[in-house]
Amino acid sequence: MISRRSFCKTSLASSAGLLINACKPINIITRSSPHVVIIGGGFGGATAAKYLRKLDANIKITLIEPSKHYLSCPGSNWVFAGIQTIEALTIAYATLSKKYEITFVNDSVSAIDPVKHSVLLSDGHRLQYDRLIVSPGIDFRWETIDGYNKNIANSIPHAWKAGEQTAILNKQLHAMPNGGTVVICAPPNPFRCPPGPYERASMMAYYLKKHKPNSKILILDPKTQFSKQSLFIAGWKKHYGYGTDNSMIDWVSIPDNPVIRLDAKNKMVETDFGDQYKADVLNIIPPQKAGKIAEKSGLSDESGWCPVDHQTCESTLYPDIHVIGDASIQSPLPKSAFAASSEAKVCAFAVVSRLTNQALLEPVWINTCYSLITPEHGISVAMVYKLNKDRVITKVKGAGGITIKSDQRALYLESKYARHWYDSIIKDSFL
Amino acid sequence: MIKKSIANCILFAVTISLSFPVFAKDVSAKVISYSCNTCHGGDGLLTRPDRMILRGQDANKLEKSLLDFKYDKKFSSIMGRISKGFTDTELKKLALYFSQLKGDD
Repeated sequence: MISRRSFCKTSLASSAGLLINACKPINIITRSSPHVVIIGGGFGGATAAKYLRKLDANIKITLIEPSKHYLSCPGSNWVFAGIQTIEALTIAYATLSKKYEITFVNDSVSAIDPVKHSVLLSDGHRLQYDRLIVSPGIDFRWETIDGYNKNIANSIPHAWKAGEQTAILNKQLHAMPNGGTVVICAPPNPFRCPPGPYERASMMAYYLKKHKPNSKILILDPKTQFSKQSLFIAGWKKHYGYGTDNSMIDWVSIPDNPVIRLDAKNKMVETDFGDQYKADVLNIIPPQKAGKIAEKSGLSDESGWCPVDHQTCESTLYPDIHVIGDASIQSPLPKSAFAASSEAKVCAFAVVSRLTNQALLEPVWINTCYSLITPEHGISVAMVYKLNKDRVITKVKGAGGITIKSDQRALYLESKYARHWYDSIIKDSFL
Repeated sequence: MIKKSIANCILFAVTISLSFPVFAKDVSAKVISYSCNTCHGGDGLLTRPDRMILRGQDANKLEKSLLDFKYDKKFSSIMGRISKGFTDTELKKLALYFSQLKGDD
């Protein structure tokens, strides 16, 4: 028994165009150039748009994004150390749109109709697509912390979407008196930017050590381990007295006792067992799920994230829709900008293969991620991923790993590479 | 008629799937090169002494660099970790591919 859907896939993959009328909506064969609509202009969506154009001059590409500028999350923790500005993290879409002939629609999507192959914009317009790429990033599970919500985030920021939130948190850090306590509530897995909370603590510690040396940073973590842990711990020992009575950073692992309540008025969080932590500056990074439009359109499953076929990034729930970036389930790839960019390229190849009835290409993914412990002490993690013989995305044995050398010169160079990494990924995705 | 075409399609698909090995296949140079672009792509990187411009490079030189990184004959901060993810054949083809690229491809 072969389903209509899988038969369509098979016939397309084997270049049998004979039956295409029976499988596809008529518009694909009557229209001269197919239309790919992309929802979300982050690292995933922007990279997908650019690389689709590189692969095919004929496709009509529309990128729908509610913001006029992109605000990069990578690099946003550096603001706390005073070595990066919000302005420098802001990238206009104009270059991407002009240089690669991408129609930029400055709006948000209120609904996706997977049957009619259309997207409804919040201004009421409807766009028809042949293939849809959904790259909506993350949304927060506000309900997991009683008393926390979107409005309260204006005074108790998450700063897990860069921009205004980053600025609020940085302002509070600057206003905090010497001897104050910063509490960072780290999220459970999986979440955007696995090393992010720990780089944030490092960058804040760098600022505090210089300006408010009696202050403390407490990381409350529902996890028992975290990304690049050995490198962070070594860096914290070297610069911030980690492990001594005078440590500026404390990492408190509370796996069976997560933070579940917020007393916003007193800037206090409470755990499941009733332990209370009071802060002068409180940063709650809530548990996460796929971006709103993914959930609303039924692209996410009970896990809150979107299941996809890894070779094509096609949703396993709806045909002709691809999901990439943080919103999609791509484990063991992390939810990082580099991974989103890698997925976008795999997706672009697959979309073009599908639209032109070509066989799919064998994919590969790379992730490279730098973090700063001080402006002159960098660390990194890297990995190469391929499909194994069962067609499951897998880390290539022997590849990747964390920063190799730990002498001062090597760590200094890693910090320079971190900055260069930022410049080049921005360029590759948006310019 | 339609039934016959369906049968042909299935036969074709089965033939194709049997003609490829079931183990992980080599990745094409173009697909790999897109990953390289994240750090090595675009203009302006000429000002970054730590990052080699890949397009238009001599194929043998590029292949030797990649293999030296892969087999730890030459220290690198990151390229050893990356090049270990690829077969020697993939790296050879990748070097050739980049050597033939011109402009901002």
